[in-house]
Formats: sequence, C-alpha cells, structure tokens
Amino acid sequence: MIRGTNRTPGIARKGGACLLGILFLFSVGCGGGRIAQEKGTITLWETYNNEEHDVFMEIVKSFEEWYAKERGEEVHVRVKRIPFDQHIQKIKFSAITRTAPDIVRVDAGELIDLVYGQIVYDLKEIDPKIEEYLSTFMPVARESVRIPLRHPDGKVRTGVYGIPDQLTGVAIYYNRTMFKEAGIPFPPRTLRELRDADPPWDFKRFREVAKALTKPERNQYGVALNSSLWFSLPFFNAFGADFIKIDPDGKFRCVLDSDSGINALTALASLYWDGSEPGAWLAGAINPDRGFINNKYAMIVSGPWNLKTFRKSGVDFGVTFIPEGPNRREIPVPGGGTIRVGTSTNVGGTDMAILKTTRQPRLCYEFLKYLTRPEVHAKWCNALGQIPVQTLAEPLVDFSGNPDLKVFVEQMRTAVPRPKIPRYGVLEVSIMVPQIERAFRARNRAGVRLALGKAVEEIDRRILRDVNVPR
Amino acid sequence: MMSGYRFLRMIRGSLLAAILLVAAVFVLFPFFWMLSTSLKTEGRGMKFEFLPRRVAEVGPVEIDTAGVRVGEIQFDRTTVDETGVHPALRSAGADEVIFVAEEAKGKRVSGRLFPKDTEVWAAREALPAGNWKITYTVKRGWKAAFFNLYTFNNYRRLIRNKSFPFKTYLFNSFLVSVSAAILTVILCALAAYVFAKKEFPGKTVLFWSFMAAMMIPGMMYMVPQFAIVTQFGWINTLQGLVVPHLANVFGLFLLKQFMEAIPDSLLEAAEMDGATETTKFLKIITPLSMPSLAILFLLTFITQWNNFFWQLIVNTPDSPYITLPYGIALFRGQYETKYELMMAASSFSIVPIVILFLFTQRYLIEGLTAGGVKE
Amino acid sequence: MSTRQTHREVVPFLLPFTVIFVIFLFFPALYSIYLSFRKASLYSDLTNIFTTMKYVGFQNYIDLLHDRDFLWSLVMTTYYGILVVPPGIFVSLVLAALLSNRLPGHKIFRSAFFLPNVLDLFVVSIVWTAIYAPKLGVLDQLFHALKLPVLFKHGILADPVWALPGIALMVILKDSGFGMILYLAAIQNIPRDVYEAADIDGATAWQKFTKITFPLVKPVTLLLIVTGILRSLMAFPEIYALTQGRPFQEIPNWVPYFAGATLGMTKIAGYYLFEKFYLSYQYGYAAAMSVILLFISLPLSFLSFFALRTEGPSVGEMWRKWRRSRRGISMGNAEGESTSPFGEGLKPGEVG
Repeated sequence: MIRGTNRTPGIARKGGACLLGILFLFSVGCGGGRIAQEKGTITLWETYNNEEHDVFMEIVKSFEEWYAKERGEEVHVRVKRIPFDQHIQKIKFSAITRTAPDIVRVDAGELIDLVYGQIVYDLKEIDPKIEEYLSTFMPVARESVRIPLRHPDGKVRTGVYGIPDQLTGVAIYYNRTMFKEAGIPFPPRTLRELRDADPPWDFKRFREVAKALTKPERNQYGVALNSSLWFSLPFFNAFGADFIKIDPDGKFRCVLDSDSGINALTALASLYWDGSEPGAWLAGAINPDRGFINNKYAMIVSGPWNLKTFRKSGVDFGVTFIPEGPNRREIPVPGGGTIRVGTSTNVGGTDMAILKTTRQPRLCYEFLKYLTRPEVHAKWCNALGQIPVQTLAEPLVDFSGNPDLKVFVEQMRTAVPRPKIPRYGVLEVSIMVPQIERAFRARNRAGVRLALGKAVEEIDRRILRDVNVPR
Repeated sequence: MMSGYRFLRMIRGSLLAAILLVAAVFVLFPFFWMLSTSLKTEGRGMKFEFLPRRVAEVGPVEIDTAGVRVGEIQFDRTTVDETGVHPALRSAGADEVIFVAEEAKGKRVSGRLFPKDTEVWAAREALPAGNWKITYTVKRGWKAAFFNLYTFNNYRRLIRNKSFPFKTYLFNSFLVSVSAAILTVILCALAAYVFAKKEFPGKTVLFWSFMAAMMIPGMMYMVPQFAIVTQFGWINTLQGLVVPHLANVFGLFLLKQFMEAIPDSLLEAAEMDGATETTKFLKIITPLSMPSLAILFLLTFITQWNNFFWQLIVNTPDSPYITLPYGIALFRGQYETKYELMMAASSFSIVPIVILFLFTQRYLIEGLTAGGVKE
Repeated sequence: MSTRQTHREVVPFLLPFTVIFVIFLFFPALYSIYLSFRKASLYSDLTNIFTTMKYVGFQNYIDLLHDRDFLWSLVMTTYYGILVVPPGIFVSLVLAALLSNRLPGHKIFRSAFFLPNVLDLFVVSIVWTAIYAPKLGVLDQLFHALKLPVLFKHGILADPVWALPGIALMVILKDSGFGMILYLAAIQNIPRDVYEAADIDGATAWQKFTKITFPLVKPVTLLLIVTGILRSLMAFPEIYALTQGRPFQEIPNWVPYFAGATLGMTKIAGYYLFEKFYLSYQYGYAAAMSVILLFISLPLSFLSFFALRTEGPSVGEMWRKWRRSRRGISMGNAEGESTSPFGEGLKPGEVG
C-alpha cells in the first residue's frame, strides 16, 4: 500500500504528459510519420483471393525482371494483402495517418469517394496520353476510371483516376432442367444468336418464359430478383434510362424518373406482380443464389463469380443475356463490325489507383501499364477464368474450357457504367433499396413513378446537394 | 410415502431435463448447421442437403459426338468440372454406375460403366456417332455416399495453405486475447474494489463519468483511438492491439456489482487483524470474486478474439501481429460464396472459446460458498 | 473508518484504470462531442479530414431533430428495447434458476445454452433466415405439414410489425446464455443455509425463488438492464445480418409526424448511426447522434439504478418479515435465525 502511494506521483506525471500529448494531437491534427519510401520500391495493397494472389505475385516478379532488362534499373514492388472486407475503411484510416501505400486496389464504386477525398492521382498528370492508352480497353472498364469531378472553378472536368484490373457484370443464369421440362428452347448464348433469335429474347418473352416456368405447387418460380440498385441497373440500361445528367453550369442532376426509367422498373416489378417472382428480394427470403442452387428458382441475375460454385453444386444450368429492352444500340465486336442488340448490363470490378502520397508516380504508372499488357493480362485471365479488361488480350484468352464465361464477356460489351456519384453505399442501401421495394409492392405503374420520384428527391437531398456545393 | 415423493421428484426432474434438452438442441441449431456446412464438399454448402444419398440420378445430358466413351466424354460442358467429368460421376467408391443413352431416332443403348481409375468411371464400348441423351444412375455404399457429400478438405485447405501462415495468426490471436483478458481483469478488479467497498469524495461522479463513456457507441471511438495509437507509434505493436481496450467500463460495472455482495464483516475482521488494503484485496476480495473474474476473463477473451475491425486498422499488412480474424477475412474475396470454407473458418475459430468456457465452468460451479439450491 | 486515510488508499487501485480510461475513452469521447459541432465537406481532403471540418454550431443537432429517419429509428429502438431486454433477462434468470440445480447433466446444459453466444452472428443469421424464410423455410414447412394457416405470406422478416420481434427472438436465444452465466455466478454466492432455513420453514420452491433468489441477484439484474438498454440503443450487427433495415413501409396518414414517409421497419438507432458513419462518412452528424443517444441512455440508466436500489430493509429483514407473517409455521426456529448471515449486512446492489 505504501509502495503504491509512493509510486503514484510518477504515474500521475506520466499520465499528465500523455494527456498533454493528446490535447496537442487534437489541436494540431494528426501528424503521424510517413512510411519511409525507398527509391525504386513501391508498395501496393491488394484484395485478391488466394488463387488470384498467387498469379499476381508471378506477374509482379516478371515485371521486376522486365524492368531490370528494359530500363536497367532494379525496382521492387512490395505486394501486401488486405482483406476485401472493410478495405475502403482501412485505406481511409491509413490516409488519415499517412501510412497509405503507393497503389491500392479498390472497388470501382468506392474509388469515387477516394477521388472526391482528393487522395488519388489523376493519371492525366502523369501521362497526358492516358486516354489513348485506355482506348484498347473494354469500353465500360475504361469508363469506370473516368470520373467527372467539380473543380473549385465550378467547371466539371473528367479525370482518369486509375487503371481497371478486373471487370464483372451480371447476366441471366437459367436452370436447363426446368427449361427442358417446360419444353422451352434454350435462350441465346452469343450476341449474334441474340440478334437472330426467334422469338426475340426480349422482355416480353422473358416475362412469358418466367410465367411458364412458375409452378407454385412445387415451390418452383420462374425468376428471382434482388432489390438492390446494382442488380436492377442492367434493366434500367436495357431500357435506356439515364441516371445522372451534368448541366452546362456544372450541376449534377438525377434523371432516373424519366419515362424509360419508369418503364424499366415497371417491367421488372411486373415479374413480381405476375407471381413468377416469389419475393426473393424481401427481407429474410431465400435469396436468388440459394434458391437457384436448390432448384427452386428457374432464372436469376448473377455474375461470373458463381460459375464454379454452381457447377460444383451439380445444378444443370446455362447462362444467357439480360433480355432486350427498347434501347437497341450498335455494339462493336472484335474483328470489326457491330451488332445491333437491346441487351445491356451493369459493371462491377476493381481499379488500381495511385495515391497522391507516392513519391514515384511514374514507376507506379509503369507497373500498372505492364499489368494490362495484352500478353500479361491474357495470362491472368487464362489462369483465373476472368473477363479480359484489355480487349487486345481477348484473342489470347482460351474460353473453350469455360463457355459460360464467354457469354459474360459478350454481355460485358453491352454494359453501361454505373452512376458516377459519391456515397455509393448511401445510394444503394439508404435510397434505392427502399424505393425499388416500394415500387415492387405498389403493383401498378403509378406506384413505380411515385417511388422513382421519391428516389430522385432523396438522391438530390442526400448526395447531389453536397456534390453541387460551391467549392 | 417418502419414496413416492422421491419418485415424483424424479419424474419432475427428468421432465425438466427433457424440456431443456429440446431447448438446447434448438438454440444449438446454428452450431450444428455451421459444423455440417464446414464439412460439406465444395458447392454443396448452400444446398438443403444433409443426408447422404446412395442412389443418385444424373442427367439427362446431351451429347453430339462420335466414338467417345460414355463416362469420360466431354458431354455438355456446362455441367462438367475442370476435368471434363460430371461431378456426380467423380464418385470415388461408387458401387455401380448404370447409363441409359437414347438417340433422337429412337435408338436406345444401356449398360453399365466400369471404374477407369479411382475417380472416373467409363464405358467399355464407345457410343455410335449420333445425338445422344444420356442418363446415369449412380449407386454407392453408405461410406462412399457419405464422402460424396462430406469431406475434411475445407479444414485441410484452411490449415495447409502456403499463403496463410495459420500458426502465426493463431498464436497472435492467443497473445492478444489472453493479454487483453488478463490485464482487463486486473485493472477492472482493482477499480471495482474501491467502487464497491470504499468511500471517497467524487466517487459517484467518477463512476457515472465511466458509465457515460460506455454509453457512446463504440464506432465513435475508432477514429480518435486510432489517431492516439498512431501518435504513440503503436501501429503494428502488441500494445496497440491491447491497451486501448483495457479500460472496460462494463467489466468494472460487472465486478462492482458482484463485489458489493461480499459481506463487509469479512473486510472489517481483516482490518482488525491489521491487514493492508493490498492484503484485503488479494486475500479476501479476489478469491471471493473468482466467478465474476472468470466471467470477465471469458468475455474479454471472446471480444478480443473476434475483434476484426480494430486488428484490421492497427495492423498494416506487414505487421508481425496479424491475427486470425484478419487472416480469415483474407480468404474471403470480393464476391466469394464459398460457404463451406467460411464455415470451416468459423468453426475453427470458436474451438478455443469453447475450451476456455469449459475451464471457466469450474469457477462458476465451485464458487467458494459451494452452495447449490436444494429443492 | 477515518475518511482521510481511505482516500489515499484508493488512488493506486483506481489509477491504472483511470489513466487508460482518460487516454482511450475520455478524450475520444470529448473528441466526439467536439466533432458533433463540425461538418466535413464531400470534397474534404481525406488525409486531413478531421482538421478541415468546418464549425457549424448546433446545426447537426438541429438537423437531427428534423430528421424523420432518426426520430423514427428512436421509435423503433424503443420497440426493440422492450422486445429484447425484459424477455432476455427473464429467459436468463429461468435458465440460471433451473441449471443451478443439481439437475442431471447440468454442466452440459450450461455449455449448450452458453455456446450460441460465441457463434458468429453471420452464421446464426443464415440459419434463422432458413427458419423464417417464406415457403421454403422451416417454420412455413412445419405449419404446412400441420395444416395450419400460414401467418406471414412473405415471412416474418418481411412483415412490417413482426420483423423486429423476429429479430428479437433470435437475439434473445443467442444472448441469454451470457445472462444465465452471470445469474449462475450470483446464485452460487447465495449462502446455502438461507435456503436450508427456508426449507425448514416449509417454503415452496416458488417462494424461495421470489423471496430469496430474485432479491439477491438484483445487482445482476441491474447490470443486465443497463447493458440491455445500451445494447438496444447501439444494436446493429443483428440488423445488418438479417434485414439491413428492411422491410420498408409507407407510413399511413393517421400516424402523426411520420405520415407519408417510407421508413425502415427494422432501422433502429444503432443501424442508422452505422449508415451515417460507414456509408456516408458524415462523421459530425454521427457524432451528434451519439451524443443524443448518450443523453437518452444516461437518464434511463439512472432510473434503473434508482428503481433497483436495495436500500431500506435488507433481504434478510424482508425474509424475516415474511416469516413473521406466517408465524404459525415459524415457531421454534430461533437457531435458524441466528445462523442467518443476513444480520451481518449482506446488502446486495448498493449504489455508490
């Protein structure tokens, strides 16, 4: 006890010093030490899974060898894995304390928040010819890194804030057994087949097929939907609904409640109104993936990430395009020429962004360019069964062992970029899900119009008002 | 008379036990589900499939080919796995595989397949050229059927993975959780003792300011705590992971509530014998608070064992203190739907907690008063 | 006790906890309050986001009081708290009372009821989704098999009124194991001779429970009530895992203030805070919200302390009083009374 009392003042003094330190910290802002940057070494944080990580490491090694041979310089890329879960928080926290790496791999939707937060390099500053370099990329991948940003002068300029490294999007998975039972021929598997399909694989046909495949007495339903914006975008796109317009005065405006927007959502909701959609989007329902694997849902909207799992589960399935809407466009295909189809899809995927904290933006840029060289990228796609981002790599990719992926590649040609506004999480979770579900429940077109009107109002209130402030 | 009473009590006891048993099975349902999913073969985790099936029908699958064997042909590419064989036919240990092939013109061939090697079954004869529809019937023994659905591979993949230093993660998690638990218990016990048994000016104010801090949601603390840890240079250190959570107000409150129940008379008696505060704390308070100390230890251990977010932000990727939750999260890619693997990871990470709980039980049961309610 | 002496003795016991508290909780808490008067712009530089936040006075608080979603989340939180806290405590206490007995296999039962506590909420929620799911779910299949009418066409979790009780049931079954352990520890501390004395008096099991066990575990009840209040104000993992604030519902016209809005029927305060903090990065707004939550939970906790204070007659006295009221039975039990430890001041739950 006595010893304790003697010790007290010492601890108290130390504690006092700590407190002063913290007070100082908050008054001055957080000053943490910058990560030491050695010349010729760049750090990269990635969120790949195990298989991807292994292939990526091989590519990094080949880059270092290539650089030494071509430029006669020893460089080192330190690759560090971070979990995808919460990766954006991790990056933000590291930015606050200035412990961020040189390059980060981020989800395409989250990249916009980092761009607004002014920590991402506009690659135009490094290479004015960047647009030219990106011209050989899959159009929608290219679009995902071109982000319009309001500058302090009130003008909106589009910068290039990264190099896309991975691309996903959705198409329709269908249960072949159920199609056979109902005597419905399989839907098209190439864009050419889609154009020539008879009857056309359009929304009307989709609705009929869904109805024919619905057998409530054995808990079988024609189609299962998600109520999130991302999963609904393919339909908005197929109906030609625009999301964001930038006015000449540089103001962002949401125009989702246009006629085509209402038509798209009405078409989607009508599947539920018909009873061929069981309400898989409702809270607590068996979600589309799970119902599909258990042979309960005949068609679902999903992406290539499910190919392997579904195959292993033993479901007899095929992949086809999002049904055509009225928005028919000429889609360029490799080998020249275009195909006129009305299908479309959304875009997901990730981009590699160079952070402003880096001291070696050129080297970072060189690495990212190397990563997307046709032969390097083809190696990546072949090893992992992924959609090529770089179209020049496409001829080098062998799809013969994975014909379903080929459908996704074709579908991606028709994709439309997602709305390039910040706070994607709010847009999705707090605004669109409630309103899309409201539209589903409404059971008529007027209700859909009401829901979309409300969505536009909320987008303006919660996001665009902050975007449109004078800086 | 007496025996009748005992008989009645026995009946009542067993009835109670039966009700509790049903309830226990019900609340443990998620646990069983987690275990069984973690043992499923790939792709089966999301299926409502729990009992192995001895007879399985595969197909019909269509093939337009000439001169290929029925079992190993690359029929219908959408349903084959990487090796070009239908998953259901990769049934090691199947007893019998029968096929029926039908052609559009009405031709019909049936027969049985033979094991080509340990995994793949094939036909002796090739099918004539044509457009065939083939249905397979696979018959298995119980053991083979079981291992068609269940496997230990998920655990193997988790533990034996070169880019996943599993043992290091496990060790770090132990280090963090145990040190946090021990220190939290010590700090909270010391403070709780004075709050429970001492009077001093400002006691109420101090106690309620502690309580108030507990009433601000945890996520608000993240950013400032992280800033402080960075300022101290504690990124990638053990103290950075442990120290910010030591002042556990809930723990203080919990221990205080239990310590207040310790009779003052014991302390007064000790005081008369000339015991110092330290002696009183160590010789009277600590032993008598063992159950609550054990509970707090357990609770802190569990919290820190699962504290993914803090461990994520305090560790940069090259930290030597990367823990199990961080490591397991690395497994999960962006769109991953590998339920089986995720469940294996979850099952794995609760094993230490269960073991710890079994140890804690001893303290709960053998409280020093050693009194149970006797009916 | 001479008070001056006591003060100095207290310091070394309090100091370690207090130092850590001040550094890692008190300052961050102050900082939250400081942030609640500030606002970050969407264009704030992320590397300096906290220092470049602009002072906006009470604007965040004013906005909050006009934020229908926030006020609605408070309504739903109240509902949730009522659904979770009292039943949770009840289940914990019943389990503890049953399992403090030398019931066959009580050790196994304790483990079984505690185990759900340590399970990942993600796992638990997948299973509960499978139980609640419409048409294919366990409950619906069971009702179907028993030829009972299906209560919820789209499942409990999609029902505006019953979604929250559905979540609450899951949380109670998952968490009551912890309350059970606390109660068990408290019950073990009750001296056995108290019960023996009651036995001699011929008290029934129910009487023993209400007159001895329940009053003596009051401190734990208080603990569970206070933490239960906090827990329901901050709850978000269960909402995130099960419904993400859904189902959404247009509020009918007869509801004052909220009429016409589309609001999340499981969007409780903790989840709303999570949305503001992690999805829209409105740190200032989130900070203001947590300050309001603090001002809600603090009086509620005071109230609980006040309601469950154990001043006045000690439990022993209460017991004696009760026995006196049944004087006919208690004749000739003087020894029993003298061995009772209550006389020595076993007063649980004293509030400092």
